[in-house]
Amino acid sequence: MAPKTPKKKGGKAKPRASTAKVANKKSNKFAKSGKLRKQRLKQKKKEFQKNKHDPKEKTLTNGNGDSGFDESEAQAEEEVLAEEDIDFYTGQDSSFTQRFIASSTDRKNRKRRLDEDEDDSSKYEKRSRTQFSGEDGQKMKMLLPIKDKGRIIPQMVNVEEQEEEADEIEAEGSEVVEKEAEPLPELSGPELIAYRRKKLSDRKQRIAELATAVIENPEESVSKLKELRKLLGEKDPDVCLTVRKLVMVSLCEIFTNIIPGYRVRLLTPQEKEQRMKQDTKKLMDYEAALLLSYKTYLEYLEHTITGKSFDKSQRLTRLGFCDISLPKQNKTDLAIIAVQCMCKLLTSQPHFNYRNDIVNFLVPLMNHKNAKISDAICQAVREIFFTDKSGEVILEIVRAMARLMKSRKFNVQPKVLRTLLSLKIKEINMDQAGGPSKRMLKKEKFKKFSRRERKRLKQSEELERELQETRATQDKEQRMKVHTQIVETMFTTFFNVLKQEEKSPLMPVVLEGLARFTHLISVDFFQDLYAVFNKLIGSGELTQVETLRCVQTAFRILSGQGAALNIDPMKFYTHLYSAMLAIHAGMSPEDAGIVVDCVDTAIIKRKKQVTQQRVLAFTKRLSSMALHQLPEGAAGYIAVARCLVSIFPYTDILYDQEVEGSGVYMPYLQEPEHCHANSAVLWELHSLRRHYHPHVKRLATALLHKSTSDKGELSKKEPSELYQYLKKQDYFPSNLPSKANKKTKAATSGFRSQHFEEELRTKYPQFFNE
Amino acid sequence: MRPLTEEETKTFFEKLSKYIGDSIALLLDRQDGAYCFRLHKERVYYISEELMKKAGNIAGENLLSFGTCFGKFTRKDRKFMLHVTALDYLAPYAKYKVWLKPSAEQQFLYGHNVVKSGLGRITEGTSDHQGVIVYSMNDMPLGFGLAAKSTEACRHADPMMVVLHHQADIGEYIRNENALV
Repeated sequence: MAPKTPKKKGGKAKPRASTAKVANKKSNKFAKSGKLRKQRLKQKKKEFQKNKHDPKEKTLTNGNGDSGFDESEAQAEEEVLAEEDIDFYTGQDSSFTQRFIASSTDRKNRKRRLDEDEDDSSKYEKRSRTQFSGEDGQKMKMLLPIKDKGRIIPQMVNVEEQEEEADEIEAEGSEVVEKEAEPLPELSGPELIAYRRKKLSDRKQRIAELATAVIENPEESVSKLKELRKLLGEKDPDVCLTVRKLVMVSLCEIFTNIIPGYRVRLLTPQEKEQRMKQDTKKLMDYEAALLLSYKTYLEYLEHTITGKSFDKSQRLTRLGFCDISLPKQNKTDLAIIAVQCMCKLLTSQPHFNYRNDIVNFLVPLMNHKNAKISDAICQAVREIFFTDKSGEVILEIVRAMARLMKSRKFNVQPKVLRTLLSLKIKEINMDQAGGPSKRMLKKEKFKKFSRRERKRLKQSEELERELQETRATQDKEQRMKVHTQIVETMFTTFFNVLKQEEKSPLMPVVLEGLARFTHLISVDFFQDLYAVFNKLIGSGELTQVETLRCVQTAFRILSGQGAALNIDPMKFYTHLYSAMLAIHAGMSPEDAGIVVDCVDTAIIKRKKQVTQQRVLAFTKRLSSMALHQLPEGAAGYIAVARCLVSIFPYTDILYDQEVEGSGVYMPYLQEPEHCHANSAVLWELHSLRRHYHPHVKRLATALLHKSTSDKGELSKKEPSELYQYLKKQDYFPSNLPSKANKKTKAATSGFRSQHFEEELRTKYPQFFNE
Repeated sequence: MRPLTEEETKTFFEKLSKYIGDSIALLLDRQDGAYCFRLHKERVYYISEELMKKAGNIAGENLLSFGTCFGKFTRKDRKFMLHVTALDYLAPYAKYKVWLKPSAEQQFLYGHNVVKSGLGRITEGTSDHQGVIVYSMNDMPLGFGLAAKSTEACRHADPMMVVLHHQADIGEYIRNENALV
């Protein structure tokens, strides 16, 4: 029978098909020439008249009596049109219908009517299916009847059962509809909570199931991943916030686990056409699906973070995501979680596709006004700086940062730049131009060598190249190149900040950065940098710390490659000398460390290039300012002074009371050269000898007696090391009395420095018990 | 002996400030007493006021010298010439300095200019035609000069390029003993 039927059908169908075709053609023609409406009207008229004449016939042909046909005549025209339209559309294939709808947008009125028609058609369809109701009032659906023993048995099925069997997505949608309709107000408070909890635990269960399935076998469970992704669009107002959060986090976790260790390349259409092995094809399909899911997820995160509403035209909306109206606080909570997810994806899988997009999206958010968001990103960026070996991600980030700075006109939060300080770049290729110049030009070779020599040269070059390849130095070179680019970008940003007209809040960070990466600054910049520093310090807008940082950077440059320059940075000695006067325990106790460091690089490292007057002046100032420091600062100062005394024998003069040469020591003069330090005496050491801190006491005594052969462990340390070491220690030995007596209480009331007081309070709470 | 006229003071201070900048005030207002400049027989002397009063007791034609001679005004166009005798007072306040390598010291002390190869070190930010004080590598003042090139230009100069024009050096104490007072 089977072979027969198509033939028969074909034979029968032919004339029918041709009529349909003819009708189609006709309507097409009319549509094109814009006469469709006329044609329609004509038809309508005809049918209307027919209807008028014989309304009963119409109802009969329609089959079901309950449609709107037995309504008043005023509506009849409309109804007829609908009827006719449905016939019309069902006669064509649907794509044509759509095209037709699209083409008829010129007349708004018409369009609206079409929409209505469509609505009607759907109603109509529904009605036809669900009209029968079961015995117990359940909605039933007709199935095909069965013929049994010569009679026809109608078949029906419960509609609700049917719906449950339908696919997940629809179920999801209907569920929501159901819930919205649920009579919530009837439940009492606790019941509501319990209800919500149950719903939530259901969702959790579902998420867990899906997630486990995906993790267990990612290649097989692409559909599950998709389903999980769909849960992101949770609409139920009761649980949507929690569910969205949970799904975001779990998807993030899933992706970090299942993303392959390489970048997925999508196939070109040509490649898709090629035949491939089944396994390969399977893998390719999986990769494409994964990538799509990943992309959707990222897009969703982006939307959540920016808080933008889902635009109608976008892919996400088509995938079923939509806005939920939430309070602002909850929205930010969602955004924070989304940011954390994105950061995690970036840090754990920086090689994967869309990295660039993530970077370009996240980096501008480093300047976000919400501290939680910006901190999370800054932390992630720092982590990448730490972990990324090849440097390519870093380069992208640094470039994005530079762009951000430029677009914001350098008006960003300091913490954005501060992340750069955690870069771990040790060396770069200072003379990148050196590469091509090394290789001899072809012409030159031609002149210089004979033919045979050239040939041999070529061979040896090739050999060398091969050797290098096996040694994998290529990788190193590449890395060096990337690092150089990173540093270049970073310094350009820094210099741009420095060049700003007014002082920006970024200045301390920039100066710290410059001081940190001085070894990477090319000497060529140094002239300009010096000019800028001098201008900055001269303007008097810098704080003491910033001045010190400038000085530190300047001396670091000189101690590096600048040593070949034979330059005496006199102004910076002056700046350092005068800045030292302002640093004391009360204001900023931490700055003493920078001073110790500065003097170390400025004098001890340049011991052959400093004048006598300078050394004397600095030694004198160190010892007098040691009186104003916290113990660690004082110890650091004395240690530096001790180094100076041991390196420069002419400092003997400071131990001598008799004035040699002319002049009187002028302690308040700004210039170390002119202050006649040769007539000064280090009388402060006698005060320091009686210092309360044992280490300071020992160091001062040692300096006073110029005993270089001190056995103590402390004296072996470099001054800055000593400072750091003592800073970590407590101020006082541990055997302090557990309760303060009256005297100490009086001494600890009323501090001039709040900072010092706070620190003491945290370290020795027993003194401050009221 | 008389104080300098306004015009003379102007020329003289302009010359001094080329070497020591604003530190002229430090020369005059010292903690160990007030000092002053006095003109005697076209020469400018730097002297403490106390000593100056005592020197006033001696008749002008009999007074050969008092305090320290800083230099003299030329007869024709009243320009001021700095003498090497002022070096001890200017050197501590020097704004710009040049250190010479040991090999170039002798050449300079014979009254020659300094070429790049003899330049040991130079203060950062020196402009050309700036008055500088010349030191040996172990910080002994040797004389004055004029920078022929700025610090930046010195870096890129040829080894035989003149970087410093000679003005006065301590070799003059021997070579030119008669003219110094």
